[in-house]
Amino acid sequence: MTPETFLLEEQQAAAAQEKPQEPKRTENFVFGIPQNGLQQKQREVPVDEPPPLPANSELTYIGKPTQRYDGPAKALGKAKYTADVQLPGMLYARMVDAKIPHGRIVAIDTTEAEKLPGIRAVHVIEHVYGIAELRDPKQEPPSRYPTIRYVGQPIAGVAAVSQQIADDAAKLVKVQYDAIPFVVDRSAARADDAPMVFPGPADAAGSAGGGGGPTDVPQKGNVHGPKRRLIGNMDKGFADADVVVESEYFTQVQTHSALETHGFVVDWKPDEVTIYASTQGTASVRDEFADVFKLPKSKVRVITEYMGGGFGAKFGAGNEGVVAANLSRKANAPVKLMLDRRQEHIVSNRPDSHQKLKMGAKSDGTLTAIQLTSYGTAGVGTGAGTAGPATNLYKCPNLLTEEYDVFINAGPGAAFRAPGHPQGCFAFEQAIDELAVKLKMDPLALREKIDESPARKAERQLILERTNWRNRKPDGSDTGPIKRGMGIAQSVWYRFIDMDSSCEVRVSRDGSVELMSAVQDLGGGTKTILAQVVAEEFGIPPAMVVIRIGDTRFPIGPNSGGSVTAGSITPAVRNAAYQVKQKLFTAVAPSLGTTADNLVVQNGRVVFRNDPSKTYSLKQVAAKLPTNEISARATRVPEYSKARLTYGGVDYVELAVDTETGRVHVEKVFGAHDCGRPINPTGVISQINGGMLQGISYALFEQRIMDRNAGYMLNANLENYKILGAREVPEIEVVLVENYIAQSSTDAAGIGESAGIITLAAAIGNAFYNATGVRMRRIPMTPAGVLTALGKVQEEVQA
Amino acid sequence: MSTQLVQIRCASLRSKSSYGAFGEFHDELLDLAGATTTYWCLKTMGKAGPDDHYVHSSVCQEGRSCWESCEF
Repeated sequence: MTPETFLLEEQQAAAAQEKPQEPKRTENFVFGIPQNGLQQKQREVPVDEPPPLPANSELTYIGKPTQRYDGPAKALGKAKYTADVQLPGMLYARMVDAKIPHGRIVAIDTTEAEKLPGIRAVHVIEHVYGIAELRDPKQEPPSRYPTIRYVGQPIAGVAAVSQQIADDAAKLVKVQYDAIPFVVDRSAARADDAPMVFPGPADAAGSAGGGGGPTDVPQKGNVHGPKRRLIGNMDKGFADADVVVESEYFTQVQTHSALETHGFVVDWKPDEVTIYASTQGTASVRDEFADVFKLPKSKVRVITEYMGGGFGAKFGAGNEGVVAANLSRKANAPVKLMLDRRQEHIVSNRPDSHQKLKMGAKSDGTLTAIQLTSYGTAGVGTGAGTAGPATNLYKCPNLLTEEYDVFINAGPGAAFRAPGHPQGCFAFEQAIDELAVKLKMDPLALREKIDESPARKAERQLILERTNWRNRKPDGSDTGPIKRGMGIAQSVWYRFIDMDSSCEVRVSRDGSVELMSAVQDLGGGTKTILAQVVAEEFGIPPAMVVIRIGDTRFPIGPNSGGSVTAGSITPAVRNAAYQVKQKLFTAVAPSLGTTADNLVVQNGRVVFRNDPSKTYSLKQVAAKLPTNEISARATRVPEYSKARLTYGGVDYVELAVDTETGRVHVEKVFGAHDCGRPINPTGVISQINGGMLQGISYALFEQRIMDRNAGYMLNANLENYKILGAREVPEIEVVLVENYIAQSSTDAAGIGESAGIITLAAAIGNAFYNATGVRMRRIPMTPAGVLTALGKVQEEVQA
Repeated sequence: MSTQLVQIRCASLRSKSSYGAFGEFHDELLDLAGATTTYWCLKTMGKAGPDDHYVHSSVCQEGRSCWESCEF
């Protein structure tokens, strides 16, 4: 059962009302933003919740810059990623993928591959029909194999005793195709006569357009949409406006390019399948393997001890996981299948966009209307929407957003760090600056007028205090060939909580403390913050807490997507630590000649409340345990209030534009960001640094280039797919704004999404305008694109 | 009063947000994810369903030939 699958009938609301309320108590929580003055907020909380935490300034480990828990293991090469896993008798696999962009497979001949010495198994992906009827048997007749819709689509897998033999065998698999016309250009795909990526009429009820699904999201040709949202009255909104801006923006396809490619090691045994996965969700992998292979979840074990990045694209089993499992089952041996770098560029991407924005405002800056139409392509998939920033950054009484997906014969889009928001922000936050220009307002002052977020208000103040903004020159006034400018942009992301967030904390008689959860650490520092939370409760240094995560034999953890991890799992961890501490005090109090409620942790010692001269170390106290160990398990409790919260940041850029070469050099970035209570400022800032670099890379360099005639990605490697390098890294300064929200026992929140990736392209665009007086409407801002925008070379024909 | 679940979408429809228990955030998550959600089919592990049409919450509904109910 999945969240998308069901709607609840109306009875549930009534049933919820009838549900007996669990006992609660009232507590006062620290609330608000230190810069704006901290307040108290009263909340009803479950009776067994830990007491509220004070502000970070009053804590010992939480909120203090802390070295990465697994830093030494990574630096010393002891950290074992999925790609590093070696099992006895393990085989190495390679995926065989499609070499044409669209067509039917007539035949697959694996004979030569199977003859290669060292080959142990071959698995060919076949078309699963079940009860399905093909939508258009004339164009795509029944076949034993799935229709090919993009170059790189998985076809088969081979497993051998070495990677080299597997690679050689993959080349020997002969695939005979019957090619079908294709399209890899978004604009061309919108034409009435474009080759259809998914041909055939609709068969669902309420079909609309020229061959699509139900009327809520229609389809015509290769265009799926719009996903439409209307608030208020657009005619009235524009009639009320004193000024109106209209503009178009274009963003490119960006591939995820995680350092560790997608991959699995699958060890299929009759009694249990063990899967080492490069995944953002051990639970998602376990669930999907269980579903696909009809196995009880209890017989599927997933391990992700270290993970080399995913950015949103690594959930579930994936084709590569299913192929690896089939190969392992056939060969009766463990199989490692990691995608190669070319395949990694094709397996997932951030969709491109063509956005048309129209906005109206009163002369004082008050927004009266926002209208966004966007077209984007997620290749053979959907998900190219961009309306997040336009919808959620600023309140506007009249809003119309229409988002379209355009199918092309290219690799599929996938969730990618703040899906849709970098694209949307690039257009929307530049359009806000366009509005400021038209209103003759300072861009920061305009945002001060229209932005209701208290956190971003504090962040804008930091921009004023800590950057050169007050000395900003008039737009386009810099002289000479090298022009400098500065710009800002703001981001928004949303607080989601995954209740599948559990853990166990164990204290042994020798005083050692362990935490166990299936939650995975993508590299963002989850292990460190979990250690800090446990450490705070016991008064011991975080390094003394043993963190065991990334194994589904432990209590279930949240899947790490949408910045849910810290906000979901840390309250469960604190609750478990608090509960086991209470159990410990209860168990040892008689031996200490006191009662449990007379024991408290202070300054790293267990202290008698009624006689502070009596203090013990945790080790001394644990030694009194009547049993060898004691433990507690906790699961995330619901948020303390129904408030719906967002996070965000304000990022500031200084840059130089060489108007003769077209090169853009980002010289300085300053960011002020909020994410609830920061547990480890070092880790949060590190994530923001990474997001900013990824944002600069998106703005200036990264771009998937498709061959329109042959239909494949021309630069599916890290030589020709340019990613920001050390020479392009600017000076970066990040300031965190603590934002106490009184929503959980830790108040933590994630930072993965609103970490600079959303804003940087827009901030760079605004700084570019300040430097040159020319608006960059297209990324990446390559030298050719810059010179085109500056009118120094003729415009290229682009999508 | 018992809660009644009504299946509207195919049991094989998956997205990133398929995994997890979002409780009171469920509707908001789907709304905010909106047009940025990428889907896949558990039957094919790809972007096309067994009927060769694309996978999306708006089309993976009852009435499509490959639609499947959940087994409780």
